[in-house]
Amino acid sequence: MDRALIALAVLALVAGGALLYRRWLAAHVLPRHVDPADAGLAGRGGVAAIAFTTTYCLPCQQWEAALGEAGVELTKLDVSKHPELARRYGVRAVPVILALDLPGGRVLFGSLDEPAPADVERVVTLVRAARVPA
Amino acid sequence: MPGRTADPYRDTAVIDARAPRTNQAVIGIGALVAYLLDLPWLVALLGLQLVVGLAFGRRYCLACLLYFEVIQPRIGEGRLEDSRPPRFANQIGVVFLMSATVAFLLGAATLGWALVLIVATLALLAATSGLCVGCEAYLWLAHARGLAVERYPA
Repeated sequence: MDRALIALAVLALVAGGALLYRRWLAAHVLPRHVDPADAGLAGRGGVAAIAFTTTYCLPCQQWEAALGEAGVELTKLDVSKHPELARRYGVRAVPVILALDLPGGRVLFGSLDEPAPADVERVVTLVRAARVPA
Repeated sequence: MPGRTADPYRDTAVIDARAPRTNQAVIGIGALVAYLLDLPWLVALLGLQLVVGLAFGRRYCLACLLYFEVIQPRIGEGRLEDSRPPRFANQIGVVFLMSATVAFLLGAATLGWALVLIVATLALLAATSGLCVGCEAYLWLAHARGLAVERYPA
Protein backbone atom coordinates (compact mmCIF):
# COMPACT_ATOMS: atom_id res chain seq x y z
CA MET A 1 0.00 0.00 0.00
CA ASP A 2 2.79 2.40 0.96
CA ARG A 3 4.62 1.50 -2.21
CA ALA A 4 1.54 2.17 -4.31
CA LEU A 5 1.10 5.58 -2.69
CA ILE A 6 4.74 6.48 -3.26
CA ALA A 7 4.48 5.31 -6.88
CA LEU A 8 1.40 7.48 -7.30
CA ALA A 9 3.31 10.40 -5.80
CA VAL A 10 6.07 9.82 -8.36
CA LEU A 11 3.53 9.86 -11.18
CA ALA A 12 1.95 13.04 -9.80
CA LEU A 13 5.40 14.63 -9.59
CA VAL A 14 6.07 13.65 -13.20
CA ALA A 15 2.72 15.01 -14.39
CA GLY A 16 3.18 18.27 -12.49
CA GLY A 17 6.76 18.65 -13.66
CA ALA A 18 5.80 17.98 -17.27
CA LEU A 19 2.98 20.53 -17.11
CA LEU A 20 5.20 23.20 -15.56
CA TYR A 21 7.95 22.51 -18.09
CA ARG A 22 5.56 22.86 -21.04
CA ARG A 23 4.32 26.17 -19.63
CA TRP A 24 7.86 27.35 -19.06
CA LEU A 25 8.79 26.40 -22.63
CA ALA A 26 5.86 28.33 -24.06
CA ALA A 27 6.69 31.37 -21.96
CA HIS A 28 10.47 31.43 -22.31
CA VAL A 29 11.56 29.46 -25.35
CA LEU A 30 9.35 30.97 -28.00
CA PRO A 31 10.61 34.37 -29.07
CA ARG A 32 8.14 37.18 -28.45
CA HIS A 33 9.46 39.37 -31.21
CA VAL A 34 11.39 38.79 -34.43
CA ASP A 35 12.91 41.57 -36.49
CA PRO A 36 11.15 41.19 -39.89
CA ALA A 37 14.41 42.17 -41.61
CA ASP A 38 16.01 38.96 -40.29
CA ALA A 39 13.36 36.99 -42.18
CA GLY A 40 13.58 39.13 -45.31
CA LEU A 41 10.15 40.56 -44.56
CA ALA A 42 11.08 44.19 -43.87
CA GLY A 43 8.43 46.64 -44.98
CA ARG A 44 5.75 43.99 -45.47
CA GLY A 45 2.36 44.08 -43.81
CA GLY A 46 -0.11 41.46 -42.64
CA VAL A 47 0.87 38.26 -40.86
CA ALA A 48 3.68 35.97 -42.04
CA ALA A 49 4.43 32.38 -41.12
CA ILE A 50 8.13 31.81 -40.45
CA ALA A 51 10.12 28.77 -39.37
CA PHE A 52 13.48 28.45 -37.68
CA THR A 53 14.62 25.28 -39.38
CA THR A 54 17.50 23.15 -40.63
CA THR A 55 17.86 20.98 -43.71
CA TYR A 56 17.37 17.93 -41.46
CA CYS A 57 14.13 19.17 -39.90
CA LEU A 58 11.36 16.87 -41.10
CA PRO A 59 8.63 18.46 -38.96
CA CYS A 60 9.55 21.78 -40.61
CA GLN A 61 8.95 20.18 -44.01
CA GLN A 62 5.62 18.85 -42.73
CA TRP A 63 4.69 22.36 -41.60
CA GLU A 64 5.69 23.76 -44.99
CA ALA A 65 3.56 21.17 -46.79
CA ALA A 66 0.55 21.65 -44.50
CA LEU A 67 0.64 25.43 -44.82
CA GLY A 68 1.32 25.18 -48.56
CA GLU A 69 -1.87 23.15 -49.01
CA ALA A 70 -3.76 26.06 -47.45
CA GLY A 71 -2.00 28.57 -49.70
CA VAL A 72 0.20 29.98 -46.94
CA GLU A 73 3.88 30.49 -47.65
CA LEU A 74 6.38 29.53 -44.92
CA THR A 75 9.46 31.72 -44.73
CA LYS A 76 12.37 29.58 -43.56
CA LEU A 77 15.37 30.70 -41.50
CA ASP A 78 18.04 27.98 -41.56
CA VAL A 79 19.78 28.12 -38.18
CA SER A 80 22.54 25.76 -39.31
CA LYS A 81 23.54 28.39 -41.90
CA HIS A 82 22.74 31.35 -39.63
CA PRO A 83 23.53 30.28 -36.06
CA GLU A 84 23.66 33.94 -35.03
CA LEU A 85 19.90 34.12 -35.60
CA ALA A 86 19.37 31.11 -33.32
CA ARG A 87 21.46 32.76 -30.62
CA ARG A 88 19.71 36.09 -31.02
CA TYR A 89 16.24 34.58 -30.63
CA GLY A 90 17.12 31.84 -28.16
CA VAL A 91 16.27 29.03 -30.57
CA ARG A 92 17.78 25.83 -29.17
CA ALA A 93 15.82 23.27 -31.15
CA VAL A 94 13.83 23.07 -34.34
CA PRO A 95 11.11 23.35 -35.44
CA VAL A 96 10.13 26.78 -34.18
CA ILE A 97 7.13 27.92 -36.18
CA LEU A 98 5.88 31.47 -35.67
CA ALA A 99 3.08 33.66 -36.93
CA LEU A 100 4.53 37.17 -37.12
CA ASP A 101 2.53 40.37 -37.05
CA LEU A 102 4.05 42.69 -39.66
CA PRO A 103 5.55 45.19 -39.95
CA GLY A 104 6.28 45.19 -36.21
CA GLY A 105 7.41 41.58 -35.84
CA ARG A 106 5.37 40.68 -32.77
CA VAL A 107 4.85 36.92 -32.40
CA LEU A 108 1.14 36.10 -32.44
CA PHE A 109 1.47 32.34 -32.27
CA GLY A 110 4.25 29.82 -31.91
CA SER A 111 4.75 26.07 -32.03
CA LEU A 112 7.70 23.87 -31.13
CA ASP A 113 6.05 20.69 -32.31
CA GLU A 114 5.05 18.81 -35.40
CA PRO A 115 2.07 20.32 -37.24
CA ALA A 116 -1.08 19.44 -35.31
CA PRO A 117 -4.19 20.26 -37.39
CA ALA A 118 -5.41 22.82 -34.82
CA ASP A 119 -2.04 24.62 -34.87
CA VAL A 120 -1.93 24.69 -38.67
CA GLU A 121 -5.48 26.05 -38.72
CA ARG A 122 -4.50 28.75 -36.22
CA VAL A 123 -1.60 29.95 -38.38
CA VAL A 124 -3.68 29.82 -41.56
CA THR A 125 -6.48 31.79 -39.89
CA LEU A 126 -4.09 34.46 -38.63
CA VAL A 127 -2.43 34.85 -42.04
CA ARG A 128 -5.72 34.94 -43.97
CA ALA A 129 -7.40 37.34 -41.54
CA ALA A 130 -4.60 39.84 -42.01
CA ARG A 131 -4.60 39.69 -45.79
CA VAL A 132 -5.66 42.95 -47.40
CA PRO A 133 -8.44 42.30 -49.94
CA ALA A 134 -7.23 42.95 -53.49
CA MET B 1 6.95 3.35 -45.02
CA PRO B 2 8.15 6.94 -44.44
CA GLY B 3 11.82 7.40 -45.34
CA ARG B 4 14.75 7.93 -43.02
CA THR B 5 17.33 10.66 -43.42
CA ALA B 6 19.62 9.05 -40.85
CA ASP B 7 20.51 5.37 -40.55
CA PRO B 8 19.95 4.58 -36.87
CA TYR B 9 22.87 2.13 -36.72
CA ARG B 10 25.43 3.99 -38.85
CA ASP B 11 24.71 7.68 -38.29
CA THR B 12 25.41 7.48 -34.60
CA ALA B 13 26.28 11.17 -34.26
CA VAL B 14 22.58 11.91 -34.46
CA ILE B 15 19.48 10.17 -33.21
CA ASP B 16 15.76 10.45 -33.82
CA ALA B 17 14.61 12.36 -30.72
CA ARG B 18 11.78 9.87 -30.17
CA ALA B 19 14.25 7.00 -29.67
CA PRO B 20 15.68 8.33 -26.38
CA ARG B 21 12.14 9.08 -25.27
CA THR B 22 11.15 5.48 -25.93
CA ASN B 23 14.18 4.35 -23.95
CA GLN B 24 13.28 6.75 -21.13
CA ALA B 25 9.73 5.42 -21.07
CA VAL B 26 10.98 1.82 -20.86
CA ILE B 27 13.46 2.68 -18.09
CA GLY B 28 10.94 4.82 -16.19
CA ILE B 29 8.13 2.28 -16.33
CA GLY B 30 10.53 -0.58 -15.59
CA ALA B 31 11.97 1.21 -12.56
CA LEU B 32 8.51 2.03 -11.21
CA VAL B 33 7.31 -1.55 -11.71
CA ALA B 34 10.45 -2.83 -9.98
CA TYR B 35 9.68 -0.60 -7.00
CA LEU B 36 5.97 -1.46 -6.90
CA LEU B 37 6.56 -5.21 -7.07
CA ASP B 38 9.78 -5.16 -5.02
CA LEU B 39 11.95 -6.62 -7.78
CA PRO B 40 15.58 -5.56 -7.25
CA TRP B 41 16.72 -7.92 -10.03
CA LEU B 42 14.70 -5.86 -12.52
CA VAL B 43 16.68 -2.78 -11.50
CA ALA B 44 19.91 -4.64 -12.22
CA LEU B 45 18.49 -5.80 -15.55
CA LEU B 46 17.55 -2.26 -16.58
CA GLY B 47 21.01 -1.01 -15.67
CA LEU B 48 22.65 -3.89 -17.52
CA GLN B 49 20.56 -3.19 -20.59
CA LEU B 50 21.74 0.43 -20.57
CA VAL B 51 25.35 -0.72 -20.21
CA VAL B 52 25.02 -3.13 -23.16
CA GLY B 53 23.49 -0.40 -25.35
CA LEU B 54 26.21 2.09 -24.44
CA ALA B 55 29.03 -0.41 -24.90
CA PHE B 56 27.92 -2.27 -28.03
CA GLY B 57 25.62 0.17 -29.81
CA ARG B 58 21.98 0.61 -30.68
CA ARG B 59 21.64 -2.85 -32.26
CA TYR B 60 21.97 -4.31 -28.78
CA CYS B 61 19.70 -1.88 -26.97
CA LEU B 62 16.23 -3.40 -26.66
CA ALA B 63 14.41 -0.07 -26.38
CA CYS B 64 16.31 1.19 -29.45
CA LEU B 65 15.31 -1.92 -31.39
CA LEU B 66 11.71 -1.45 -30.27
CA TYR B 67 11.75 2.10 -31.57
CA PHE B 68 13.80 1.70 -34.75
CA GLU B 69 12.35 -1.63 -35.88
CA VAL B 70 8.75 -1.46 -34.67
CA ILE B 71 7.66 2.11 -33.96
CA GLN B 72 9.64 4.30 -36.37
CA PRO B 73 8.71 2.32 -39.51
CA ARG B 74 5.06 2.99 -38.67
CA ILE B 75 5.13 6.64 -37.62
CA GLY B 76 8.13 7.92 -39.57
CA GLU B 77 11.29 9.65 -38.51
CA GLY B 78 11.05 12.41 -35.93
CA ARG B 79 13.36 15.29 -35.26
CA LEU B 80 17.04 14.39 -35.38
CA GLU B 81 19.19 15.57 -32.52
CA ASP B 82 22.77 15.36 -31.32
CA SER B 83 23.15 11.90 -29.78
CA ARG B 84 25.72 12.92 -27.15
CA PRO B 85 23.35 14.45 -24.57
CA PRO B 86 21.01 11.41 -24.39
CA ARG B 87 24.03 9.09 -24.30
CA PHE B 88 25.36 11.04 -21.31
CA ALA B 89 21.92 10.82 -19.70
CA ASN B 90 22.05 7.04 -20.16
CA GLN B 91 25.44 6.98 -18.45
CA ILE B 92 23.95 8.82 -15.49
CA GLY B 93 21.12 6.29 -15.49
CA VAL B 94 23.64 3.46 -15.39
CA VAL B 95 25.40 5.02 -12.39
CA PHE B 96 22.11 5.37 -10.50
CA LEU B 97 20.75 1.92 -11.36
CA MET B 98 24.03 0.14 -10.66
CA SER B 99 24.47 2.07 -7.41
CA ALA B 100 20.97 0.96 -6.46
CA THR B 101 21.88 -2.64 -7.27
CA VAL B 102 25.00 -2.42 -5.10
CA ALA B 103 22.89 -0.90 -2.32
CA PHE B 104 20.46 -3.85 -2.54
CA LEU B 105 23.36 -6.30 -2.40
CA LEU B 106 24.73 -4.54 0.69
CA GLY B 107 21.34 -4.61 2.37
CA ALA B 108 20.66 -0.88 2.06
CA ALA B 109 17.27 -1.34 0.40
CA THR B 110 15.94 2.12 1.32
CA LEU B 111 18.87 3.83 -0.38
CA GLY B 112 18.50 1.49 -3.37
CA TRP B 113 14.82 2.26 -3.82
CA ALA B 114 15.42 5.99 -3.37
CA LEU B 115 17.87 5.87 -6.28
CA VAL B 116 15.41 3.81 -8.33
CA LEU B 117 12.62 6.32 -7.69
CA ILE B 118 14.87 9.19 -8.76
CA VAL B 119 15.56 7.34 -12.02
CA ALA B 120 11.86 6.57 -12.49
CA THR B 121 10.86 10.19 -11.90
CA LEU B 122 13.48 11.70 -14.21
CA ALA B 123 13.03 9.10 -16.94
CA LEU B 124 9.25 9.45 -16.99
CA LEU B 125 9.53 13.23 -16.90
CA ALA B 126 11.84 13.10 -19.92
CA ALA B 127 9.58 10.65 -21.74
CA THR B 128 6.42 12.67 -21.18
CA SER B 129 7.68 16.24 -21.45
CA GLY B 130 11.02 16.13 -23.25
CA LEU B 131 12.78 17.64 -20.23
CA CYS B 132 15.86 15.41 -20.03
CA VAL B 133 17.83 16.46 -16.95
CA GLY B 134 20.84 14.34 -17.91
CA CYS B 135 20.90 15.92 -21.38
CA GLU B 136 20.71 19.39 -19.82
CA ALA B 137 23.60 18.46 -17.53
CA TYR B 138 25.62 17.41 -20.59
CA LEU B 139 24.89 20.68 -22.39
CA TRP B 140 25.78 22.68 -19.29
CA LEU B 141 29.06 20.78 -18.84
CA ALA B 142 29.88 21.05 -22.55
CA HIS B 143 29.37 24.80 -22.52
CA ALA B 144 31.40 25.09 -19.31
CA ARG B 145 34.24 23.23 -21.07
CA GLY B 146 33.92 25.45 -24.12
CA LEU B 147 32.60 22.72 -26.41
CA ALA B 148 30.31 23.79 -29.21
CA VAL B 149 27.24 21.68 -28.64
CA GLU B 150 23.89 22.81 -29.93
CA ARG B 151 20.61 20.99 -30.35
CA TYR B 152 20.67 21.80 -34.04
CA PRO B 153 21.24 20.93 -36.79
CA ALA B 154 21.15 17.82 -34.64
